[in-house]
Amino acid sequence: MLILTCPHCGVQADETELSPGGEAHLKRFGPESSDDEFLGYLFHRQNPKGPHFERWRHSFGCGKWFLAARDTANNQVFGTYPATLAEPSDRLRERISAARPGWGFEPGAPSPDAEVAP
Amino acid sequence: MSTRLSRGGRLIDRSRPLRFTFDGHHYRGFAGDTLASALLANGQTVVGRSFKYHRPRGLVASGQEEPNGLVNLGAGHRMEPNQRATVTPLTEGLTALSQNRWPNLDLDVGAVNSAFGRFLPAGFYYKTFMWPRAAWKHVYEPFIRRSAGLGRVPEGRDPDLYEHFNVHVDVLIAGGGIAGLAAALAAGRSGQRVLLLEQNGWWGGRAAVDGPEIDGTPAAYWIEQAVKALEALPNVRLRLNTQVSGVYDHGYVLACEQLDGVGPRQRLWRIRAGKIVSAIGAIERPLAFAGNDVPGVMLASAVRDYLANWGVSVGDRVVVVTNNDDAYRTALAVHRAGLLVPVIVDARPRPDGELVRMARDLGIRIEAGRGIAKVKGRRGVTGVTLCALVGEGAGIEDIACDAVAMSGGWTPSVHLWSHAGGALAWDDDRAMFLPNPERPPRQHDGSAMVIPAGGSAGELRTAGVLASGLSAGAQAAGGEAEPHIAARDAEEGPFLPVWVMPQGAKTSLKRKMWLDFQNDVKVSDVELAAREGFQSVEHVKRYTTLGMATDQGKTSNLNGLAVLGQTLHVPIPAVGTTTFRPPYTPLTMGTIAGVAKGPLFQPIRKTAIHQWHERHGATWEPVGLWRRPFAYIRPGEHVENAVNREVLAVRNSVGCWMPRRSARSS
Repeated sequence: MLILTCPHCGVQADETELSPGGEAHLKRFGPESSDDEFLGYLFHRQNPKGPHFERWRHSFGCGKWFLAARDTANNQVFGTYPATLAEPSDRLRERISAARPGWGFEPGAPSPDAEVAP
Repeated sequence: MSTRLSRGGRLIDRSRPLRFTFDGHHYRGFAGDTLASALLANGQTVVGRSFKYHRPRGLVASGQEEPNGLVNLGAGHRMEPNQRATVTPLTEGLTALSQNRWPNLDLDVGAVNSAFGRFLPAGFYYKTFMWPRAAWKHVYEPFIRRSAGLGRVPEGRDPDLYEHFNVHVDVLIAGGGIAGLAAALAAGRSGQRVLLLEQNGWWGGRAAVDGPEIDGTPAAYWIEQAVKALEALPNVRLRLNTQVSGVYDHGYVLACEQLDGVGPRQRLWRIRAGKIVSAIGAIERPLAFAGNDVPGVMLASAVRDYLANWGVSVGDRVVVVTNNDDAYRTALAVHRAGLLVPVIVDARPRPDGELVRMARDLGIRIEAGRGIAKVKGRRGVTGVTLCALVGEGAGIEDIACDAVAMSGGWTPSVHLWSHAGGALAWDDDRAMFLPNPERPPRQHDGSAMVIPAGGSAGELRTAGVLASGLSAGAQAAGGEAEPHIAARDAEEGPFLPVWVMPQGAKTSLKRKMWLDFQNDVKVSDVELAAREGFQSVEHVKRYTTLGMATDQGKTSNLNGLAVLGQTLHVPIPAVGTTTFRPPYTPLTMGTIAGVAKGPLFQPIRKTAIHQWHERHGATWEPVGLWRRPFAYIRPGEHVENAVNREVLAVRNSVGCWMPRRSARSS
């Protein structure tokens, strides 16, 4: 059971207080976009082994959404921040880079061309 | 034949005799006995039949790792299958039944399987029950279902109560041996909240039995003083009879406490710990020689546990077979108790250490570079045949005995380290998988969550155990390292890994060498699996059932890996290990459920107008945990009439539908 600190109310929340919301920082594609872009937005996720940005809601607490940077391989949490930020802060990125050299942040869903065979 | 000695037994109270029954026979034991020690005290060396071949089996171990001594405990609604006799405290009027035999333990029809053992190798049911196709459903499966499994399923509801307990601590220490006590002393002085949990009903672990000298005093005295010092600290909590069951993400830990008296039967501790010290010790490995499953062949540590803890001798003439110095402690203990050690069979060509010299000075015969070719006897050991370790097993000499104490070295219990992802590293000198400090399981802040200490960190000598306990406790509490505690135990010579005894054994011998007693897996089965292409350790486990079931390979895993490595001609670390998963020992389902059963399993959720509905004669429609009125019934009306009336009312006049919280928006 994970522990994540809610950036809104400051509570060290147990996983039972939280609801997961999937990958964070997805680039949204609406009605005017191409089919490929829409497909990628809807379905394609990064699923990395290593640092990952994800959405959580403090549902049995303050009820607000926040984002967390967590290593999926060993559950180290690099930091949490409000869901209103469009990108992780430089400080958080530096912290992750220090712990996981060679790591890079790529916002949005992976390109569908790279992921799906024709 | 095992029996109770007239003196000794530090855990029993001879002034309080207890009566119990096993398979309908009436026996007597003492307060402080376990079911296992009481059975041995009454000469009951056969306690069950093996899973596949229905061979008579006796106790092998003295603790949680016991593979054979599984019994149906209690009767009626309180009956519980597959309970380990070695950790079942004896109580007045206890009733136990042996398992996996019909019609009784002495005469078991299923033993015919043993005669056909050659035709029931690993994976035989994948090969033999293939056709005719229709036979699977109507003949084979019903037959396999009837013969599979060990205990019987209890009937009716469990009448006992179980409770859950939530607790937050800074440092959780699993294991109350001397490593755990030292860790608790170090962590406790920092003022942090410390919780020390011990699976047994006493403190001190192995040191209490083996009695090294600690801090210039006997181990028993030091243990008593350490517990007193810890009890005086307000920030330290201690619990006996509490088994740490599993370690999960970010310091979440489950532990199960056995309670007695009135009230709940077990308590599940749901712990959130900042740091976890794993001081759960090590488990002795059996040796693989032909007939190592005959009742009377036991782990050397268990033989001296029964002597020291419960005053029980497992036999008058105990042959010790070993590849290390530690088993000499058993020989010395047996000798000191006034019983006979006809020979110590040592696989090493030139054993030399303090304990070896002590045994030699007492005039105990030591056969170096030798192994056991086979154990004679069926329902009990009657003798052993010695052979050269490096040969094929040609007999050199027959020695009469009624018990064999075996020791193949020690396996650190790394379960709590590995449950949440800690990696292991192979130590070639001592032939052990040890926690790899480079890749620990992580806390949310990225620091190491579990800190191993004592036996589970591979420390087997008293001074090292204490030092690692102190440093683990200090590290866990973020405090200063404690002053050193002096300790004195015997110097030990090097150990020699022996996986198959004798080394050149032919298949006929390997078919009698058990690796996993509980699942009837032999050396020949692992070799067969490898030959048939099941070479990954996870495949071998599933194909042969090595390391499955209630003991999860606590005694068998490493020997199985080593035999697989030898067969494939690869080193043991290249074979790898199977995954350690919680729980460490079986948990009762009732404990996991806690109070969430019956009407509290899914409590009905009521809206604000629930009572208004009720007053107006609502019948209910379940919507998840909520109840929605289905129809309002008037006196004398049937549900269907009420629905029709309401439908007509809406059609002919006006209706109002009030949307309400559905079960989804909890």
